[in-house]
Amino acid sequence: MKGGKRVLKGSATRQKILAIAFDLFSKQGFKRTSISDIALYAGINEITIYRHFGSKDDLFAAILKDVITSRYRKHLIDLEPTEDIVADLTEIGVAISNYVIPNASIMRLIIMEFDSIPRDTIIFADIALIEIMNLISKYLAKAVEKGLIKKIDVKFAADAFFCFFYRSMTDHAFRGRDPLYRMNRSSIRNFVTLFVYGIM
Amino acid sequence: MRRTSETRDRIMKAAFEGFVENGYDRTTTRDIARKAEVNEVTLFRHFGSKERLFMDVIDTKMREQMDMYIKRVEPTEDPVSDLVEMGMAFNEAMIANIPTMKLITREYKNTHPSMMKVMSDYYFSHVEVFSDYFHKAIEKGYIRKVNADLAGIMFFSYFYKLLIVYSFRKVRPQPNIGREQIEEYARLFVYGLLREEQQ
Repeated sequence: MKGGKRVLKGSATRQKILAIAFDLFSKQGFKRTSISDIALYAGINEITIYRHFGSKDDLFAAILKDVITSRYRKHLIDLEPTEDIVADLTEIGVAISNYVIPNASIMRLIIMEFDSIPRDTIIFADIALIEIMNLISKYLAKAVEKGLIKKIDVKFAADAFFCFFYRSMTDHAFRGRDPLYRMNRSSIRNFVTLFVYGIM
Repeated sequence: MRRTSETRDRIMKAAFEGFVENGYDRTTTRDIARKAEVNEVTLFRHFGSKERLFMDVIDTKMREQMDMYIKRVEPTEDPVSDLVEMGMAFNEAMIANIPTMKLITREYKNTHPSMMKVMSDYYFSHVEVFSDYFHKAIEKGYIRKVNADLAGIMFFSYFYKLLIVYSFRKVRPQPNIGREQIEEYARLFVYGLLREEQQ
Protein backbone atom coordinates (compact mmCIF):
# COMPACT_ATOMS: atom_id res chain seq x y z
CA MET A 1 0.00 0.00 0.00
CA LYS A 2 1.31 3.39 -0.93
CA GLY A 3 2.28 5.52 2.05
CA GLY A 4 1.86 2.60 4.46
CA LYS A 5 5.04 3.45 6.26
CA ARG A 6 3.96 7.02 6.81
CA VAL A 7 0.65 5.91 8.28
CA LEU A 8 2.50 3.69 10.71
CA LYS A 9 4.75 6.53 11.74
CA GLY A 10 1.73 8.78 12.11
CA SER A 11 0.07 6.27 14.37
CA ALA A 12 3.18 6.03 16.57
CA THR A 13 3.16 9.80 16.93
CA ARG A 14 -0.51 9.68 17.77
CA GLN A 15 0.06 7.12 20.51
CA LYS A 16 2.90 9.17 21.90
CA ILE A 17 0.76 12.31 22.02
CA LEU A 18 -2.05 10.41 23.74
CA ALA A 19 0.27 8.97 26.38
CA ILE A 20 1.99 12.25 27.15
CA ALA A 21 -1.24 14.23 27.16
CA PHE A 22 -2.83 11.77 29.58
CA ASP A 23 0.20 11.93 31.84
CA LEU A 24 0.16 15.73 31.90
CA PHE A 25 -3.60 16.00 32.36
CA SER A 26 -3.36 13.63 35.32
CA LYS A 27 -0.49 15.50 36.91
CA GLN A 28 -1.48 19.12 36.31
CA GLY A 29 -5.15 18.90 35.49
CA PHE A 30 -6.95 19.49 32.24
CA LYS A 31 -7.30 23.24 32.53
CA ARG A 32 -3.69 23.86 33.45
CA THR A 33 -2.25 21.78 30.62
CA SER A 34 -1.87 23.49 27.26
CA ILE A 35 -1.28 22.02 23.83
CA SER A 36 2.12 23.68 23.83
CA ASP A 37 3.04 21.88 27.10
CA ILE A 38 2.15 18.59 25.48
CA ALA A 39 4.12 19.43 22.35
CA LEU A 40 7.13 20.37 24.45
CA TYR A 41 7.11 17.12 26.42
CA ALA A 42 6.50 15.05 23.31
CA GLY A 43 9.29 16.84 21.50
CA ILE A 44 7.11 17.58 18.53
CA ASN A 45 5.64 20.60 16.86
CA GLU A 46 2.39 21.97 18.26
CA ILE A 47 0.86 21.95 14.80
CA THR A 48 1.29 18.15 14.67
CA ILE A 49 -1.03 17.79 17.66
CA TYR A 50 -3.64 20.00 16.05
CA ARG A 51 -3.31 18.05 12.82
CA HIS A 52 -3.91 14.77 14.64
CA PHE A 53 -6.61 15.80 17.06
CA GLY A 54 -8.09 19.17 16.16
CA SER A 55 -8.40 20.73 19.61
CA LYS A 56 -7.57 20.15 23.25
CA ASP A 57 -11.15 19.01 23.85
CA ASP A 58 -10.93 16.53 20.99
CA LEU A 59 -7.59 15.31 22.29
CA PHE A 60 -9.15 14.66 25.67
CA ALA A 61 -12.02 12.78 24.06
CA ALA A 62 -9.50 10.69 22.11
CA ILE A 63 -7.68 9.77 25.32
CA LEU A 64 -10.87 8.62 26.98
CA LYS A 65 -11.92 6.72 23.92
CA ASP A 66 -8.53 5.11 23.56
CA VAL A 67 -8.00 4.06 27.14
CA ILE A 68 -11.52 3.20 28.11
CA THR A 69 -12.84 1.52 25.03
CA SER A 70 -9.88 -0.30 23.62
CA ARG A 71 -6.92 -1.17 25.78
CA TYR A 72 -8.60 -3.19 28.52
CA ARG A 73 -11.75 -4.06 26.71
CA LYS A 74 -10.44 -7.46 25.67
CA HIS A 75 -10.97 -8.61 29.25
CA LEU A 76 -14.70 -8.36 28.87
CA ILE A 77 -15.99 -11.60 27.49
CA ASP A 78 -19.50 -12.91 27.01
CA LEU A 79 -20.08 -16.04 29.04
CA GLU A 80 -22.60 -18.79 28.52
CA PRO A 81 -24.04 -19.71 31.94
CA THR A 82 -23.10 -23.12 33.29
CA GLU A 83 -24.36 -25.02 36.33
CA ASP A 84 -21.58 -23.41 38.32
CA ILE A 85 -22.86 -19.86 38.71
CA VAL A 86 -20.15 -18.95 41.22
CA ALA A 87 -17.37 -19.94 38.83
CA ASP A 88 -19.00 -18.04 35.95
CA LEU A 89 -19.51 -14.86 37.96
CA THR A 90 -15.98 -15.12 39.33
CA GLU A 91 -14.72 -15.08 35.71
CA ILE A 92 -16.85 -12.02 35.04
CA GLY A 93 -15.72 -10.37 38.28
CA VAL A 94 -12.06 -10.91 37.46
CA ALA A 95 -12.60 -9.47 33.98
CA ILE A 96 -14.33 -6.40 35.41
CA SER A 97 -11.60 -5.92 37.98
CA ASN A 98 -8.93 -6.13 35.28
CA TYR A 99 -10.86 -3.61 33.24
CA VAL A 100 -11.77 -0.97 35.81
CA ILE A 101 -8.83 -0.91 38.21
CA PRO A 102 -6.25 0.15 35.60
CA ASN A 103 -8.71 2.85 34.54
CA ALA A 104 -8.83 4.37 38.03
CA SER A 105 -6.51 7.19 36.98
CA ILE A 106 -8.97 8.17 34.25
CA MET A 107 -11.73 8.19 36.80
CA ARG A 108 -9.71 10.47 39.06
CA LEU A 109 -9.10 12.83 36.19
CA ILE A 110 -12.79 12.93 35.31
CA ILE A 111 -13.88 13.52 38.90
CA MET A 112 -11.24 16.12 39.67
CA GLU A 113 -11.75 18.03 36.48
CA PHE A 114 -15.45 17.50 36.17
CA ASP A 115 -16.11 21.22 35.87
CA SER A 116 -13.53 21.89 33.19
CA ILE A 117 -13.46 18.89 30.90
CA PRO A 118 -15.68 18.96 27.84
CA ARG A 119 -19.03 17.54 28.87
CA ASP A 120 -19.63 15.45 25.78
CA THR A 121 -16.44 13.45 26.26
CA ILE A 122 -17.79 11.85 29.41
CA ILE A 123 -19.90 9.72 27.10
CA PHE A 124 -16.89 7.43 26.65
CA ALA A 125 -16.73 6.72 30.36
CA ASP A 126 -20.46 6.06 30.28
CA ILE A 127 -20.06 3.67 27.37
CA ALA A 128 -17.51 1.68 29.34
CA LEU A 129 -19.83 1.46 32.34
CA ILE A 130 -22.79 0.50 30.17
CA GLU A 131 -20.73 -2.23 28.54
CA ILE A 132 -19.88 -3.69 31.90
CA MET A 133 -23.47 -3.52 33.07
CA ASN A 134 -24.63 -5.20 29.86
CA LEU A 135 -22.10 -7.95 30.26
CA ILE A 136 -23.38 -8.80 33.73
CA SER A 137 -27.08 -8.40 33.02
CA LYS A 138 -26.87 -10.43 29.78
CA TYR A 139 -25.26 -13.25 31.70
CA LEU A 140 -27.85 -13.07 34.47
CA ALA A 141 -30.73 -12.95 31.98
CA LYS A 142 -29.47 -16.11 30.30
CA ALA A 143 -29.07 -17.78 33.69
CA VAL A 144 -32.66 -16.90 34.59
CA GLU A 145 -33.84 -18.24 31.25
CA LYS A 146 -32.07 -21.53 31.82
CA GLY A 147 -33.59 -21.74 35.29
CA LEU A 148 -30.17 -21.65 36.94
CA ILE A 149 -31.08 -18.73 39.16
CA LYS A 150 -34.39 -17.37 40.37
CA LYS A 151 -36.31 -14.67 38.51
CA ILE A 152 -34.74 -11.35 39.39
CA ASP A 153 -34.53 -7.88 37.92
CA VAL A 154 -31.28 -8.53 36.07
CA LYS A 155 -30.40 -4.87 35.54
CA PHE A 156 -30.80 -4.17 39.21
CA ALA A 157 -28.75 -7.22 40.17
CA ALA A 158 -26.05 -6.24 37.67
CA ASP A 159 -25.76 -2.86 39.36
CA ALA A 160 -25.58 -4.49 42.79
CA PHE A 161 -22.82 -6.77 41.50
CA PHE A 162 -20.87 -4.03 39.82
CA CYS A 163 -20.88 -1.57 42.73
CA PHE A 164 -18.45 -3.82 44.61
CA PHE A 165 -15.84 -3.17 41.91
CA TYR A 166 -16.82 0.43 41.48
CA ARG A 167 -16.08 1.13 45.14
CA SER A 168 -12.65 -0.41 44.76
CA MET A 169 -11.97 1.60 41.61
CA THR A 170 -12.90 4.78 43.48
CA ASP A 171 -10.40 3.99 46.22
CA HIS A 172 -7.74 3.34 43.63
CA ALA A 173 -8.60 6.64 41.98
CA PHE A 174 -8.25 8.68 45.14
CA ARG A 175 -5.63 6.83 47.09
CA GLY A 176 -3.82 4.75 44.54
CA ARG A 177 -4.80 1.60 46.43
CA ASP A 178 -7.75 -0.14 47.99
CA PRO A 179 -7.33 -0.28 51.76
CA LEU A 180 -10.56 -2.24 52.27
CA TYR A 181 -10.30 -5.25 50.01
CA ARG A 182 -7.54 -6.90 48.06
CA MET A 183 -8.90 -7.89 44.68
CA ASN A 184 -7.67 -11.18 43.31
CA ARG A 185 -9.29 -14.28 41.91
CA SER A 186 -9.88 -15.95 45.25
CA SER A 187 -11.13 -12.86 47.07
CA ILE A 188 -13.43 -12.11 44.14
CA ARG A 189 -14.72 -15.66 44.44
CA ASN A 190 -15.55 -15.03 48.09
CA PHE A 191 -17.50 -11.97 47.12
CA VAL A 192 -19.33 -13.83 44.36
CA THR A 193 -20.23 -16.68 46.71
CA LEU A 194 -21.82 -14.27 49.15
CA PHE A 195 -23.58 -12.50 46.29
CA VAL A 196 -25.00 -15.73 44.89
CA TYR A 197 -26.04 -17.37 48.16
CA GLY A 198 -26.99 -14.33 50.20
CA ILE A 199 -26.58 -14.17 53.93
CA MET A 200 -29.50 -16.30 55.06
CA MET B 1 -15.33 30.16 76.69
CA ARG B 2 -18.75 29.92 75.16
CA ARG B 3 -18.12 32.99 73.06
CA THR B 4 -14.91 31.52 71.72
CA SER B 5 -16.64 28.40 70.53
CA GLU B 6 -19.40 30.48 68.97
CA THR B 7 -16.83 32.49 67.07
CA ARG B 8 -15.16 29.31 65.94
CA ASP B 9 -18.44 27.91 64.65
CA ARG B 10 -19.22 31.14 62.84
CA ILE B 11 -15.87 31.11 61.09
CA MET B 12 -16.29 27.49 60.09
CA LYS B 13 -19.76 28.10 58.72
CA ALA B 14 -18.60 31.08 56.67
CA ALA B 15 -15.59 29.13 55.45
CA PHE B 16 -17.65 26.12 54.38
CA GLU B 17 -20.07 28.30 52.44
CA GLY B 18 -17.23 30.20 50.81
CA PHE B 19 -15.35 27.04 49.80
CA VAL B 20 -18.46 25.39 48.39
CA GLU B 21 -19.46 28.46 46.45
CA ASN B 22 -16.13 29.70 45.15
CA GLY B 23 -13.62 26.91 45.67
CA TYR B 24 -10.57 26.84 47.89
CA ASP B 25 -8.28 29.05 45.81
CA ARG B 26 -10.76 31.83 45.31
CA THR B 27 -11.88 32.03 48.92
CA THR B 28 -9.55 34.24 50.95
CA THR B 29 -9.25 34.32 54.71
CA ARG B 30 -10.25 37.95 54.45
CA ASP B 31 -13.54 37.03 52.75
CA ILE B 32 -14.23 34.42 55.38
CA ALA B 33 -13.45 36.79 58.24
CA ARG B 34 -15.71 39.44 56.75
CA LYS B 35 -18.56 37.01 56.28
CA ALA B 36 -18.17 35.66 59.82
CA GLU B 37 -17.94 39.22 61.11
CA VAL B 38 -14.66 38.66 62.88
CA ASN B 39 -11.20 40.12 62.57
CA GLU B 40 -8.90 38.22 60.22
CA VAL B 41 -6.41 37.95 63.09
CA THR B 42 -9.05 36.13 65.12
CA LEU B 43 -9.42 33.63 62.31
CA PHE B 44 -5.69 32.92 62.29
CA ARG B 45 -5.60 32.72 66.06
CA HIS B 46 -8.24 30.02 65.94
CA PHE B 47 -7.07 28.01 62.95
CA GLY B 48 -3.47 28.94 62.19
CA SER B 49 -3.79 28.82 58.43
CA LYS B 50 -6.30 28.63 55.63
CA GLU B 51 -5.28 25.06 54.96
CA ARG B 52 -5.84 24.08 58.59
CA LEU B 53 -9.20 25.83 58.54
CA PHE B 54 -10.21 23.91 55.44
CA MET B 55 -9.26 20.58 57.03
CA ASP B 56 -11.13 21.44 60.23
CA VAL B 57 -14.22 22.43 58.27
CA ILE B 58 -14.31 19.18 56.29
CA ASP B 59 -13.55 17.10 59.35
CA THR B 60 -16.30 18.77 61.38
CA LYS B 61 -18.86 18.57 58.58
CA MET B 62 -18.27 14.89 58.06
CA ARG B 63 -18.40 14.07 61.74
CA GLU B 64 -21.59 16.08 62.19
CA GLN B 65 -23.30 14.29 59.34
CA MET B 66 -22.10 10.94 60.54
CA ASP B 67 -23.38 11.46 64.06
CA MET B 68 -26.67 12.69 62.73
CA TYR B 69 -27.43 9.74 60.48
CA ILE B 70 -25.46 6.76 61.66
CA LYS B 71 -27.78 4.10 62.83
CA ARG B 72 -26.62 1.10 64.75
CA VAL B 73 -29.32 -1.51 64.49
CA GLU B 74 -29.70 -4.45 66.84
CA PRO B 75 -30.18 -7.56 64.70
CA THR B 76 -33.69 -9.01 64.65
CA GLU B 77 -35.03 -12.13 62.98
CA ASP B 78 -35.88 -10.02 59.97
CA PRO B 79 -32.54 -9.03 58.43
CA VAL B 80 -34.24 -7.46 55.38
CA SER B 81 -35.96 -4.79 57.43
CA ASP B 82 -32.84 -4.27 59.56
CA LEU B 83 -30.82 -3.65 56.41
CA VAL B 84 -33.47 -1.36 54.99
CA GLU B 85 -33.40 0.69 58.18
CA MET B 86 -29.61 1.00 58.14
CA GLY B 87 -29.57 1.58 54.41
CA MET B 88 -32.13 4.38 54.59
CA ALA B 89 -30.17 6.16 57.32
CA PHE B 90 -26.95 5.75 55.41
CA ASN B 91 -28.52 6.96 52.20
CA GLU B 92 -29.66 10.12 53.97
CA ALA B 93 -26.14 10.64 55.27
CA MET B 94 -24.82 10.30 51.73
CA ILE B 95 -27.33 12.84 50.42
CA ALA B 96 -26.42 15.27 53.21
CA ASN B 97 -22.81 14.68 52.31
CA ILE B 98 -22.96 15.70 48.67
CA PRO B 99 -21.69 19.29 49.07
CA THR B 100 -18.82 18.15 51.29
CA MET B 101 -17.96 15.33 48.93
CA LYS B 102 -17.99 17.66 45.95
CA LEU B 103 -15.74 20.03 47.83
CA ILE B 104 -13.23 17.34 48.73
CA THR B 105 -12.95 15.93 45.24
CA ARG B 106 -12.90 19.29 43.53
CA GLU B 107 -10.16 20.44 45.89
CA TYR B 108 -8.32 17.16 45.73
CA LYS B 109 -5.11 18.84 44.58
CA ASN B 110 -5.15 21.31 47.47
CA THR B 111 -6.04 18.83 50.12
CA HIS B 112 -4.16 15.68 49.29
CA PRO B 113 -3.05 13.67 51.21
CA SER B 114 -4.27 14.52 54.72
CA MET B 115 -7.81 15.09 53.47
CA MET B 116 -7.96 11.59 52.14
CA LYS B 117 -7.22 10.32 55.63
CA VAL B 118 -10.12 12.27 57.08
CA MET B 119 -12.41 11.03 54.35
CA SER B 120 -11.35 7.43 54.70
CA ASP B 121 -11.70 7.46 58.49
CA TYR B 122 -15.15 8.79 57.94
CA TYR B 123 -16.24 6.19 55.54
CA PHE B 124 -14.50 3.26 57.17
CA SER B 125 -16.61 3.92 60.22
CA HIS B 126 -19.67 3.36 58.04
CA VAL B 127 -18.34 0.03 56.84
CA GLU B 128 -17.68 -0.86 60.45
CA VAL B 129 -21.26 -0.14 61.46
CA PHE B 130 -22.47 -2.63 58.84
CA SER B 131 -19.86 -5.25 59.67
CA ASP B 132 -20.75 -4.96 63.37
CA TYR B 133 -24.34 -5.68 62.50
CA PHE B 134 -23.39 -8.80 60.54
CA HIS B 135 -21.11 -10.03 63.32
CA LYS B 136 -23.91 -9.70 65.84
CA ALA B 137 -26.51 -11.26 63.56
CA ILE B 138 -24.24 -14.29 63.06
CA GLU B 139 -23.69 -14.55 66.79
CA LYS B 140 -27.41 -14.57 67.40
CA GLY B 141 -27.92 -17.14 64.68
CA TYR B 142 -30.16 -14.92 62.56
CA ILE B 143 -27.96 -15.26 59.48
CA ARG B 144 -25.54 -17.95 58.42
CA LYS B 145 -21.83 -17.77 59.14
CA VAL B 146 -20.57 -15.43 56.45
CA ASN B 147 -17.50 -13.24 56.38
CA ALA B 148 -19.01 -10.29 58.25
CA ASP B 149 -16.31 -7.87 57.19
CA LEU B 150 -16.77 -8.72 53.53
CA ALA B 151 -20.55 -8.44 53.94
CA GLY B 152 -20.05 -4.98 55.47
CA ILE B 153 -17.94 -3.82 52.54
CA MET B 154 -20.43 -5.26 50.07
CA PHE B 155 -23.43 -3.63 51.66
CA PHE B 156 -21.56 -0.35 51.89
CA SER B 157 -20.45 -0.42 48.23
CA TYR B 158 -23.94 0.02 46.89
CA PHE B 159 -24.50 3.26 48.77
CA TYR B 160 -21.04 4.50 48.07
CA LYS B 161 -21.65 4.18 44.36
CA LEU B 162 -24.88 6.12 44.78
CA LEU B 163 -22.94 8.88 46.53
CA ILE B 164 -20.49 9.13 43.63
CA VAL B 165 -23.34 9.19 41.14
CA TYR B 166 -25.21 11.84 43.17
CA SER B 167 -22.10 13.94 43.55
CA PHE B 168 -20.84 14.05 40.02
CA ARG B 169 -23.72 13.48 37.72
CA LYS B 170 -26.90 15.40 37.29
CA VAL B 171 -28.86 12.64 38.98
CA ARG B 172 -30.86 14.05 41.82
CA PRO B 173 -31.34 11.83 44.82
CA GLN B 174 -34.98 10.99 45.29
CA PRO B 175 -35.74 9.76 48.79
CA ASN B 176 -38.99 7.94 47.96
CA ILE B 177 -37.50 6.09 45.01
CA GLY B 178 -34.61 5.50 47.36
CA ARG B 179 -36.75 3.42 49.71
CA GLU B 180 -37.99 0.96 47.09
CA GLN B 181 -34.55 0.61 45.68
CA ILE B 182 -33.03 0.00 49.09
CA GLU B 183 -35.67 -2.62 49.88
CA GLU B 184 -34.92 -4.41 46.64
CA TYR B 185 -31.21 -4.29 47.37
CA ALA B 186 -31.68 -5.61 50.89
CA ARG B 187 -33.74 -8.55 49.62
CA LEU B 188 -31.16 -9.44 47.00
CA PHE B 189 -28.46 -9.11 49.60
CA VAL B 190 -30.19 -11.34 52.09
CA TYR B 191 -31.48 -14.07 49.77
CA GLY B 192 -28.94 -13.99 46.97
CA LEU B 193 -29.61 -15.24 43.47
CA LEU B 194 -30.86 -18.70 44.30
CA ARG B 195 -33.13 -18.75 47.31
CA GLU B 196 -36.71 -17.57 46.97
CA GLU B 197 -37.75 -14.91 49.40
CA GLN B 198 -39.68 -15.91 52.46
CA GLN B 199 -42.92 -14.12 53.00
